[in-house]
Amino acid sequence: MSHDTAHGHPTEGRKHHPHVLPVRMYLSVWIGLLVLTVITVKVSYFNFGVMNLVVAMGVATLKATLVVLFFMHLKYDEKFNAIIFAGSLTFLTIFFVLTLADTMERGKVDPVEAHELVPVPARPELSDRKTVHVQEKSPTEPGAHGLTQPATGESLATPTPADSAAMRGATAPGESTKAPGGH
Amino acid sequence: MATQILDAHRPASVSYLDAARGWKSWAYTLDHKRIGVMYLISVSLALLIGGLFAMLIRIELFTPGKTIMTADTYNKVFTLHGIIMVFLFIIPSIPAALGNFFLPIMIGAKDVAFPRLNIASYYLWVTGAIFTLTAILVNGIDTGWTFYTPYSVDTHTSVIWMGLGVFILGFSSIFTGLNFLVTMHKLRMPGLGWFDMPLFLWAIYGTALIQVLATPVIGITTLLLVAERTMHIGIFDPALGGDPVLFQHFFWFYSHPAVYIMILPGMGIISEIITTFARRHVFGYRFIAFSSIAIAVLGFLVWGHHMFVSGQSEVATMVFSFLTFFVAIPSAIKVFNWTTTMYRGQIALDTPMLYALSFLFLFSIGGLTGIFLGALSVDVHLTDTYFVVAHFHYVMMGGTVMAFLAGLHYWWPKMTGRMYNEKLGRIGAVMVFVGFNVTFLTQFVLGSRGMPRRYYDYLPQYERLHQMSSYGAWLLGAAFLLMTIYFIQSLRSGAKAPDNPWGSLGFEWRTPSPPPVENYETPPDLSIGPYDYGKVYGKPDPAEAKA
Amino acid sequence: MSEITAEGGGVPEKKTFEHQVGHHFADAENEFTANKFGFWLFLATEILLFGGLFVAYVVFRTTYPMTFHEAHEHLSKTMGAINTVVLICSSFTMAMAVRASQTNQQRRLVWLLAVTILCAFIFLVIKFFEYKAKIEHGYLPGYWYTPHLPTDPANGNIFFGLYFVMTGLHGVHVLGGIVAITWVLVKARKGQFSSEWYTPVELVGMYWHLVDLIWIYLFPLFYLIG
Repeated sequence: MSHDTAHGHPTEGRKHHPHVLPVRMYLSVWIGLLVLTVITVKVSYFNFGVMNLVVAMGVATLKATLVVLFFMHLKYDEKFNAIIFAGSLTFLTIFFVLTLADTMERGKVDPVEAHELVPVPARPELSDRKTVHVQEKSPTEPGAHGLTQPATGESLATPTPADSAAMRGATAPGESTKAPGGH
Repeated sequence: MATQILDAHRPASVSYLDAARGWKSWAYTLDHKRIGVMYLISVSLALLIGGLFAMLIRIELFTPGKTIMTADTYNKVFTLHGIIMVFLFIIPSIPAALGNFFLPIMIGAKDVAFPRLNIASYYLWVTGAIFTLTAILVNGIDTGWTFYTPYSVDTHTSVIWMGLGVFILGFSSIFTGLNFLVTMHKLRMPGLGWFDMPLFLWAIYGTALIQVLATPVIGITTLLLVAERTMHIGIFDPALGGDPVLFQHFFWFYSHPAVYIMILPGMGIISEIITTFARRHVFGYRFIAFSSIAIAVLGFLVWGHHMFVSGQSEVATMVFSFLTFFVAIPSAIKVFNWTTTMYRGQIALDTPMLYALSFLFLFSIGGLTGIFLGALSVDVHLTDTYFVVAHFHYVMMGGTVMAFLAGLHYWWPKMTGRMYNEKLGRIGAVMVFVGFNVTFLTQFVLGSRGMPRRYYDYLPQYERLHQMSSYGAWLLGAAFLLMTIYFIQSLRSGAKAPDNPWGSLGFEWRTPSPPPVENYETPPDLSIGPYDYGKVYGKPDPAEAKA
Repeated sequence: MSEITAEGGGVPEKKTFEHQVGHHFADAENEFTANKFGFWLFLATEILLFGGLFVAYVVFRTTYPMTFHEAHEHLSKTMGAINTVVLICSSFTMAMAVRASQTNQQRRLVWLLAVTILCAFIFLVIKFFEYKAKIEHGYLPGYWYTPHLPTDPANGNIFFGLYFVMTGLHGVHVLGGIVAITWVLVKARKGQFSSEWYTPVELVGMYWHLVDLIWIYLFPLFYLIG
């Protein structure tokens, strides 16, 4: 990089010599991508539970790696270009992780603080709702909008979107009582 | 050799201002200096217009209830004050105006890497400004500059025009950052290593990193907001299964790093000015350089501290609060280093230095009050009060705007070839300092006593403090008026500027004022670095040994 | 002048265009590496742009896993898979086109670019039929989500909202790619590229590979939820 700086007259100096890769390489990568596509489609017909996503993303990442390293020549480029690419993925990962730290952990109260909580009476609108509550997770599975039992033993129901729709009087999710807003 | 730099009488060469005439030579220019000047004029206009909105706010808040406008109008006025100041002024200001002008000069290059992309960036800014103007004229916008859902989806104001304007301005910013990164990597003159560069450029580098990585996310945020308003996808609407807090994650993932886009270049300017006007080698060059990068990186980890009371999970809240304390450290390192740089220096209290000293004082207050807000238990009480308003004005105005004014006054002779009236400059600096503190120190008190932000009306107990704040604001307004007058005066009849009025060793001072089109007649002699005051003035400089 | 290689049937035409290296660059090599560096930075911005949408996707998939599973069954796996193959082939032809420009095979370059554009059009046509089917069934984003069948998922508006926005933005990028590759094709027909100056072909190629990359992730996330 340090040799690659500007000085005098651009018509002299180094010409650019293209780095040409053999046709064989392009063909192999192409075939590889097609094979991996077939694999990922075939595999999707089997159920590996939570591994489904892992396998699908794993295959996708393999395909992506082939495209980036070979078709986009990143393997043969200056190192810094790879740092740029990896850097963008790193910051994207930060975005994912910290956002999910919020959305996947909603409704969970710190157990130490929960001792101090005054029990909240169950809200009548929620228990009387007539809408079909879309059961997203079976009770045995923890996860998003999951309810951690606080120490007091009271069930603190976090309203789900279906509930808020119910509170507004909508009869089914997807139907809003408000008209589309103006621009 | 040193005298050649300090008092140079160079043969007259055609300056970039005289090289071509007529409006077309400006409209179609590819010269980074001219582009910088056009940006400077544009962002200064934006500053003045945003400032006008600020004056309107302070007039309205002089008394409780209606003073000069209705509540709906007030909502639009403070929203526009924020939008114009953030997107049209402060984010582009130092990088696009001063950075554009001086980056190539400071690395001994003839231009930035992509001159056509540079002029495109400028016209994107203009387009974004037109969209903003359209939004103002059509229905105004009253969501606050943060556009939170669900109100921004439901309100009947011109959110779509504004959203598209922000999207376009975002790309202006991205292309500037991209250009600067490539320029610094690829166009440094031979012999100029990374650690030979002026610190202003390290700051610009950190800024450019953020511009490239963070700005696309505000792009997608505004697109999604426009999609919500037009298509009602529902991702931010709880009634349709969405999550309004998700909008805030999207918004702040950009907007927090954006505040580092705002402050970092200012910090770069301070490094240049303090060394020049204290005649000292900077203390801890590498610490300041790396802290610029550290601020850029750490700034991406803390956005949730704008959302402590939004309903985000406890886990996220605690993580963000913890990380927020770290981001203060590199800024503190810089403040310590600048202070140490001044120790035993020959301080010259010219106008740029007055602004730089203001920066040190005001930015420290702003930064420290940020720590208050980073503490969860305290933030619960102070959030959305005037304490927050005062905090961000201390860092953004007491910080960035002071640095911008410092840089403007420092580099004015170089860019225009003219001097401004130094006496008026100093008067203006004092007016700004006093006016600023009267305006915003009172707002810390207002906030801690419970006055909420963005409120049109307030309880009578706050009236005194609001009035004091307004007096301060009007003094600030008068100061800016004074500045406008003496800068225009300088352009028309100011004294001709020498090549190096401040006796600085920076590379930009080793070329005529204003510079020739190719930036240098002879490239700068790198054996004397930009901070080698000890070497040049012959005094042993303990700071140099550390660098 | 340009190096002529007689590899595999490309007949080099007379170069009609001499590229001028920018006056602020040290030399042609400096300009080439600067252009590539700058373009990788631009691709980083595209990754962050689409990345935001992927974040929204993950947030809602973890919130509504059953909805996503049910809703995705209304997408045509076959059409999605065909589109994936089409894009992969277009990536191959684009990469080969860049190689052709590096080796002065002018006719081959033009043909490969043309095939790439054709593949891009096929992709968009298939997408058009997919969208048409969704619209007919009422699987529209947000407010307009009007499912007809009793088995349709309740919060499907979120899935389809994300589907249309993400594949829509991707489609816009495909369209942009068609425009860019066409522009390169026109210049290539005029013989403006050679082993000394093929940067626009290279950069447009990189852009096209990114478009392929994004689809490589969109496909399993929308069509193959196991």
